[in-house]
Amino acid sequence: MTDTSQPQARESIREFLGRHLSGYDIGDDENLFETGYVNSLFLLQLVVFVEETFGLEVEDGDLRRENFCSVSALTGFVAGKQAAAGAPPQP
Amino acid sequence: MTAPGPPGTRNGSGPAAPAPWTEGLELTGEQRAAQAGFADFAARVVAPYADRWDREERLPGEVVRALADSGHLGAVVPADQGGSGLDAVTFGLLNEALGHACSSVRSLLTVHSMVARAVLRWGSRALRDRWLPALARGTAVGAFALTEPEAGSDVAGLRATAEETSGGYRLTGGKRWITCGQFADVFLVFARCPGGPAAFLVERDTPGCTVEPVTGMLGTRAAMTGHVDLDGCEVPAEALVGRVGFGLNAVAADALETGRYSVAWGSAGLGRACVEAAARHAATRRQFDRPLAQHQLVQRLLTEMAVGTGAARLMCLRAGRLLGSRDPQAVEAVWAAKYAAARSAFRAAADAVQVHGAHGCGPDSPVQRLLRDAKVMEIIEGTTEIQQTVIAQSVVRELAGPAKGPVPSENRGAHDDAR
Repeated sequence: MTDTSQPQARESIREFLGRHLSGYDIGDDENLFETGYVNSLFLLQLVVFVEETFGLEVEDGDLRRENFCSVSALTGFVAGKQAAAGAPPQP
Repeated sequence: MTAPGPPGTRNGSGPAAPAPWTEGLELTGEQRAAQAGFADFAARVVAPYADRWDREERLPGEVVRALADSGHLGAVVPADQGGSGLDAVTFGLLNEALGHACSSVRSLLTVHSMVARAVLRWGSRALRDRWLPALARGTAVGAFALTEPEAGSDVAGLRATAEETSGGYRLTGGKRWITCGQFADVFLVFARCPGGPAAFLVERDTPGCTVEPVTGMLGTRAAMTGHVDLDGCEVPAEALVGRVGFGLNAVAADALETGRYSVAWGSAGLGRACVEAAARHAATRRQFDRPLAQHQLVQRLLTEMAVGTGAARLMCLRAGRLLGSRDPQAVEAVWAAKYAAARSAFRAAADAVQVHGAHGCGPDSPVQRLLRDAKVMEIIEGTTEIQQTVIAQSVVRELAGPAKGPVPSENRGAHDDAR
């Protein structure tokens, strides 16, 4: 499981996205779904990545665009889930 | 209605069951044992009757119960929730065995597993408690109701509506070409809400829900396809699967991924059946004083069939291993496996008919059923052409970086309406 600190979470997310976008350096707040970089099939990959990397379960109530649309959104979502699960506080 | 004979008996005209196709897969001991069990089940309960069911355009209740009693309908549901909890590769082997024997039966497993997967993964606790045990035991059969008169690959055309009511939702609209629609107990229905599209679980006996049988299908004729019409069907709030709008993407993508994976392995099994039938015929049918198998142009057909089917199977296996390890690359691997296996199966089926000549065109020839069924594999759970656009988009994204700009509608995948 990846370190749960938020900077490292952000870096993991950026690394994952970069790997799937041929190294493209995506901005933290660039909207993944509206800029045409990915289609909804990529959402499945994001869900699996987040669950496996951070040891979280993405639940039906989490399926909101605002949780998955950017690096910042994903980082915040992971932090929120970890806080709710009682993970160590973020630095 | 026809009934399978008792275990161990054969009253059909199908060929003897081949040994499980084990070579080159590096399966675990458990997977090998499961594979042998699936082959035995398919050979006893399914294969001898496949041509008859195809002609009668029906699956008897007995085979559905046999699938349920064997735990096969609970394959994607974990054991601690009442299912048989097969790992991804083993689930693939089950689909391969059933696809080898009868694509209509495999289609039942496919659509039922898609619904079970959607409920398991994205259903509310109330929905899971209500439906998962029955779906896992197979006492309720699920069907996937997405396609409409004006919506298929492009879900933006969905016209079915779901209005909010004081207690839930009211669904109205028509769903077309619903596999197992004639006997499914519950439908996963996609409809448009004011906030975007959403998925709902609708019981067959909901007032306003009617099913019109469809006969004369080209392939998977025994899958008992139906047109489902919803006329103000009231469902409770917990019938919603996932969330309205953006949430639909994950629900549909997840269910369709299960479906594509199932069809991929089923196509590999169908392809294998074609290779076996063609090899047997080529070895015994003599023309010009020698078996067909000694004619070089027939050898070419056999080679193409065997190699294509084997390659597709390895892609299925790779997809299964990636799914089993929860690797995000599994999404693309499943697309590629389904694309390769469906195309390979259709080519193999066409070649199998060719090797059989007039014998392959006759009403009693299994290969003509295999050919008709194989064409369906290129259409269901993503047409070959949709797959070509999606896979190409993925290849470019991964290897050359994103081409910034709006995604053309045909490249969005089958469920990107909520972007």
